[in-house]
Amino acid sequence: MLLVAVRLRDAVLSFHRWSVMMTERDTKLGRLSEKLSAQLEPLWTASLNLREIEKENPMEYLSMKELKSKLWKDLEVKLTVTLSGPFGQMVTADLRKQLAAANYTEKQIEAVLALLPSRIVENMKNDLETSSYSQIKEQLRCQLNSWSEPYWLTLYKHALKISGLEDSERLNALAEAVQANSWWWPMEGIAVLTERPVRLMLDDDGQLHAEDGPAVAYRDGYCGYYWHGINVPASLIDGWSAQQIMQERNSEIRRCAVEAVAGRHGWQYLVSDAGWPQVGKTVDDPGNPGQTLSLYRMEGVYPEPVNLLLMVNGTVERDGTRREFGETVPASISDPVAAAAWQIKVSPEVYRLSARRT
Amino acid sequence: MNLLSNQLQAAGESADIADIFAQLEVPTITGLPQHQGDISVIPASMVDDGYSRPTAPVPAVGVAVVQGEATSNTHLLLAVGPVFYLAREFDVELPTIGYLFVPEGSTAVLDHPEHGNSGIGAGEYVIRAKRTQAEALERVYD
Repeated sequence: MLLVAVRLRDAVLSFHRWSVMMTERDTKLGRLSEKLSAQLEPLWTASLNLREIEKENPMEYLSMKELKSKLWKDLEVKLTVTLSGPFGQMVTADLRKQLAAANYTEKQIEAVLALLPSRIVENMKNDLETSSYSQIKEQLRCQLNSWSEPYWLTLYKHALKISGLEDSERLNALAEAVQANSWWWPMEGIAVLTERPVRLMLDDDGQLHAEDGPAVAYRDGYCGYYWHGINVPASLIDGWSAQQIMQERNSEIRRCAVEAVAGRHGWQYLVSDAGWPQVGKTVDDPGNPGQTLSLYRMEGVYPEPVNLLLMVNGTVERDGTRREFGETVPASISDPVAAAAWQIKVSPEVYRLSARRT
Repeated sequence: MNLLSNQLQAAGESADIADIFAQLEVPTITGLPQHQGDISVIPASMVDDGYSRPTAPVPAVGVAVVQGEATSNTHLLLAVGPVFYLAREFDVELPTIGYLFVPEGSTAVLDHPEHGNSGIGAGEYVIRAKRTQAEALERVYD
């Protein structure tokens, strides 16, 4: 029984990891604040209750007020602990780098980081207490997110089943609702529901991505085209011309467009359509019989010109094409082998010793 | 694709990795650079890393040198005989993601669902990922 429970737990935990991954896609700080949102629950409840209590029972109001400030203090302490742990180190690593680049000393950096917990708590307090929009947002914050909550509903449903206990009607009702809905907000006396999309395509990193149509589409026709998480115009998926790419003002979208064309029509096609000149000669890739390396000057994609290192496979695929890989290197590099070496920061001489590439 | 990791899973509890490894005839390179997808294995003597021999042994289940979210880009390091590995944090100025030590008599194997198996013979190595010049320097993912 225990073994079954452990196996079930492991299966559910990995599903949980997957479903959490599916919904998390923002910056590391965004993740941190999601963690903290869970901590806000008691504070929010305490805050709501206070208004009622203040009117009716002044004594109780005072002790609730104490409770409230204790809860904020607890949160600050929890934050301090979290930030000093490995997760916190990861989150603050970027901030440290930026401060160091701005010539802050070690001592000054530590001072800034030490203020973080109280700063974050202060911001949260202000949001919660002064802005009515925030209050509404908090009320609407989805408690039963159909995309990341199913894991525990599944766990309990199955736990009840395998332990031979009775079904829970309320649990089943919740599970049914969560399966039928997409984002939904159940409140007292009213519920706002949305349908699940009829099409939802993700890449390996869990970002919206589709190369043959919209990445997300709903029954009423509403849809979105995405390339590795970036919202793009529909035509980009089919492949833009080099001219269209250069005319696009958003550099992120330009980059997506380049990848999309290279994926659909190949890099050689794009290179010649764009008229990017070759730099140096085409050479054999060391340690990789049949593959060649060549370099092209790529302009108009990034703010500064770069060089495109093209690796073309020797073997012809079943559809008659050769597999190509394109990666960009600084424009100052004028030799394909030097470019490949630059990518892993070794000398060209070392790179030439390569014995095998797969 | 005949992967060492798949064979190990299929054999289950009684898997003898040395045996399975010998049967698979995995191409093994010793003392020279080699590349698998977006990562490279370079002898430590060929780079200026401040390399020191790692002491943490690679467990039977292996170590993910690169962990893809959906396992489709996971480069898994497996040990045939004792092998030692220490993960390092990637930086565009120093793209090393790990230190590897393969003692005499052992072989390390990099296992990847698309790129297959690559054997690494005895020696000290750094494992590096690729960087690319976009608007700024970035890491390349397969």
